[in-house]
Amino acid sequence: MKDLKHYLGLITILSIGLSLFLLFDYNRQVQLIIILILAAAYVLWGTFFHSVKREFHWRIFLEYVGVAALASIVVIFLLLRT
Amino acid sequence: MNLLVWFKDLFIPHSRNNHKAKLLHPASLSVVVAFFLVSQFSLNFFTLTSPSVLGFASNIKPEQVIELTNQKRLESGLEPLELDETLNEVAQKKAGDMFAFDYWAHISPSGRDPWSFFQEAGYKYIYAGENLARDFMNSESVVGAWMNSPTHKDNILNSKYKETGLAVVNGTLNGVETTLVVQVFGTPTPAPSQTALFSRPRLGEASAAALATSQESQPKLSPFSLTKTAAVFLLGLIFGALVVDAFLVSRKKIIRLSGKNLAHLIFMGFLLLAVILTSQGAIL
Repeated sequence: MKDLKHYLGLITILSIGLSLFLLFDYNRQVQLIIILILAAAYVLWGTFFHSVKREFHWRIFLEYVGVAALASIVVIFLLLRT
Repeated sequence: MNLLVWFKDLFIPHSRNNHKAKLLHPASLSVVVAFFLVSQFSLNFFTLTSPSVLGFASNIKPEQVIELTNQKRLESGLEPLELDETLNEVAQKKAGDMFAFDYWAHISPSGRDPWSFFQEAGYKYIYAGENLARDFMNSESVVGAWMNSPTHKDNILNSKYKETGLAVVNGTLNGVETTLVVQVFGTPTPAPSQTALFSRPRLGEASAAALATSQESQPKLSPFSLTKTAAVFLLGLIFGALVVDAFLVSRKKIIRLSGKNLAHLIFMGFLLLAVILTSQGAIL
């Protein structure tokens, strides 16, 4: 598959993040930080990926920011409910 | 008819939405985020104006929490803790104080620390500790969460503690019906000695000595459950839109300037999993 190594890198980052998120289930503050780091890592991954492919555009960057912001805000608000 | 066109624009990539489901455009994602934020702030407002509607139904039995605590100690080769009525009173006072002054912390906003409750109840200790939990479904999940936290686990498995006290109390915290669990641990000073050697107590420590009120609250709308449902729905909606978009773009061989749907799906999938696996309840 094309770009396999990039996707494997993304899956690795997210797997580590999710594992830490579950490991720190008792600590909401740490979980919040993990989600913020994951969101930032995702935007960086997208920027890097499209730069390597020489197809980077600010609209693509905004799309990654939008997806990362949406997902992380939803998780953060859920964490703040307890 | 217009509604149909609107839905098509929202989910199906075609020429009118620049060959990308409109729901996935940055502007639409911003609207979705704004909608979610408004719903959350409305929920906050509703919890303050209608505290009797929003809340949490739990089934935590104090005797079960103590039994599980002692079970963990026995598994670690430690002596079980004895339930002490005075420590139960300490736990009750702490829970009552948190509800009365609307806070969730070891130290109250006015600076009152946990050890003042020990003194107020007349429990002279060499060692003392406190574990707090809120909004858990049952006794197992409370003890399980404490055991997963190194500091709380240290309290449960602390060989210095001899006695424990517990309170499970329902009340309203920040406008939301809440179930608080306070477990306190202590080792009393030797009887004749009045020169109590007050060691610095450990926060997050406890051992139940007295069974406090076992309260089962009435089922209510839980803000956590409502938020979790909204979160799953929202992330699921975007996930679904991404799947449809990816499928149609691949089938129609559309070439466009856009982020990678597969990457978005992987990211959304992981965060959706995080939401699903997040359970209610917090410890301190």
